[in-house]
Amino acid sequence: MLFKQKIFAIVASSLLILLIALLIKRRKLREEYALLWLATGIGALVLVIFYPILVWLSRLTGAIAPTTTLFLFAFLFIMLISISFSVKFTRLSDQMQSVIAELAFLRRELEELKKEKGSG
Amino acid sequence: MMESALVIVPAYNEAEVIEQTLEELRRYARQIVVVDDGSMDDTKEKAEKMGVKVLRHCANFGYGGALKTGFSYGLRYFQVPYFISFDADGQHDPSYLENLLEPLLEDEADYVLGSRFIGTEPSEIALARRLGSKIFSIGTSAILGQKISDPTSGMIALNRKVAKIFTSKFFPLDFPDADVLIMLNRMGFRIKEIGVKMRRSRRAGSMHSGIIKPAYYLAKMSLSMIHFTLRRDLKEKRREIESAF
Repeated sequence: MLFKQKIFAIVASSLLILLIALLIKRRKLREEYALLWLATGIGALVLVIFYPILVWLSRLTGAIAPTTTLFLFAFLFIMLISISFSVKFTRLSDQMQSVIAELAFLRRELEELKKEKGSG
Repeated sequence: MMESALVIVPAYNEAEVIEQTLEELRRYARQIVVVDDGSMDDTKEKAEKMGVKVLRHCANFGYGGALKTGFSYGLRYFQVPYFISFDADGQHDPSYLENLLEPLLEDEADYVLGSRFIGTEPSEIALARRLGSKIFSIGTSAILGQKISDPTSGMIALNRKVAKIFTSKFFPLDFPDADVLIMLNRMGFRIKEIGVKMRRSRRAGSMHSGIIKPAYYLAKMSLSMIHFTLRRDLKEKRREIESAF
């Protein structure tokens, strides 16, 4: 891995970790959603700093250049993050449907009560 | 006979036709609930004028979502043993409602599907829809081992046990069709089809027009059918849902 590539990877992953930390601090991102992002940033940083791990992983995956391994793992993590979001969206849409239904029932009850009060 | 059923009418932007549909429906059904799925027109006001109960979603959630709300409401607020789903756009002919209920009353089925392809009177169906229905009919019949001629029909009647399943997370929020039949079959429910006559929708435009929506429908429905076909735990899930009530 070239020195420039190493510096770039360290800066990029450090910036990602910093950004996530900042978003958590400002409560714009909840910890449960930040975990995978942090894991991506920390994972990339560890692989670049402890270069032999990256070389070992490259041999394991059959990649020719260690940089390819780095990109491959980044891509896998992003895919994992996307899937986790889809799972959360599914759960959220189920929960939202229940809330909307409850709201519709309550509105109906309120209207009926108002009518009863008006006529009584 | 119709006192034992609650008719659920999911509606989205149906102000043009809802009065006519409800006027006709009221001649056959006593208990009607319209679920206005966040319409942008005055569907709710027009339905209320007709003297039926109206539930309004504060956002548009899709046909399945509206039905789910209707079943939840029915299970909680009505003691009726049966539910019927009836489209707001005037496609369904309410004179067939009693026929739809009969297999439930005779305890021959838990879920009754109104088919446009059974009986002597041909229904008015667009060619694309007929073709889509045929494809799903072949697939569903093969999976169920039972002839299902019209798996995409929205005219259905069901008992409380099935309604409970329909309020669970297994019920799709967009288009519950052939996938639901496979799910119910795998859960051990009895399905029966009877012949009904359907008309063309009273208003123009449909979910099945265009290219993207039908393509999405086809892909999503196929995936959903595969999912329910491959699952082996649906009887267990049924028990879990039933015991939760």
